[in-house]
Amino acid sequence: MSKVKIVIGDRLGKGQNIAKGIEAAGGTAIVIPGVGADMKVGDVMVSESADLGLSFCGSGGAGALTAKTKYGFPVEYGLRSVDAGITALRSGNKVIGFGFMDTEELGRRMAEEYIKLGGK
Amino acid sequence: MQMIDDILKELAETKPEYISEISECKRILQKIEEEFRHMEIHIPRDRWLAIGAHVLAFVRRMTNGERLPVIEAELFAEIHPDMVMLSHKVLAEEKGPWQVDDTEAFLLAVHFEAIRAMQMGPT
Repeated sequence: MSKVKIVIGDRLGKGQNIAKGIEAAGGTAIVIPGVGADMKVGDVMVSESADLGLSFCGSGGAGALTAKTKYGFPVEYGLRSVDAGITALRSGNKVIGFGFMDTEELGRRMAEEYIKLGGK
Repeated sequence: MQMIDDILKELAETKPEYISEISECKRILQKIEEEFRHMEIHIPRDRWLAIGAHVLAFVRRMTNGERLPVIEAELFAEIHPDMVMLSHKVLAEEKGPWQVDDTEAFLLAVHFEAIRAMQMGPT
């Protein structure tokens, strides 16, 4: 069975801690480098055939909405906690936008939940 | 103007809890539209939607007195200084209570830089 593949796009080009959490949970993380990375989440999800995208800026909305507009991904944004992210994942969203939160816990729990839901 | 109204309607439908920020957001989006018209740079609809979501969240942060962490100075080198200056200009509220900091100006400037680079090429 292939691993869950999650794309991370942060307005400031961060997300390395989230990536560590994803990998600790057995997933594959792709951190988009550079400023404005959040706006490329949808593009990279498609090019990498990823399962899930996480967008980070003031609200995570820009990246999530860009992915929705360009590719039709179901999205949720404006989230401020890991629990809110888990709820959005359970609701079937494929791109989830948060405020700035570069933590291992976020990556680990999102990947674990995706696996638990049977996505991988 | 119709574009801004359409974008705000779409955002209000997906995020009804942001309704109280809509009118202030509209004022800022109109300033952005005016500035880009002067520069003869077109903003595509998908970029408007992203900017609208960003500005809505910005207004909410200002209303709540919320501050984002300071960002590294070297990141400013990655975008055109005119875009940072423009961002400060459109976010400045002459009569309002907020003081726009460099982090907020930078985050919006990244949107402007994406549009500028798309139409005029990289810095």
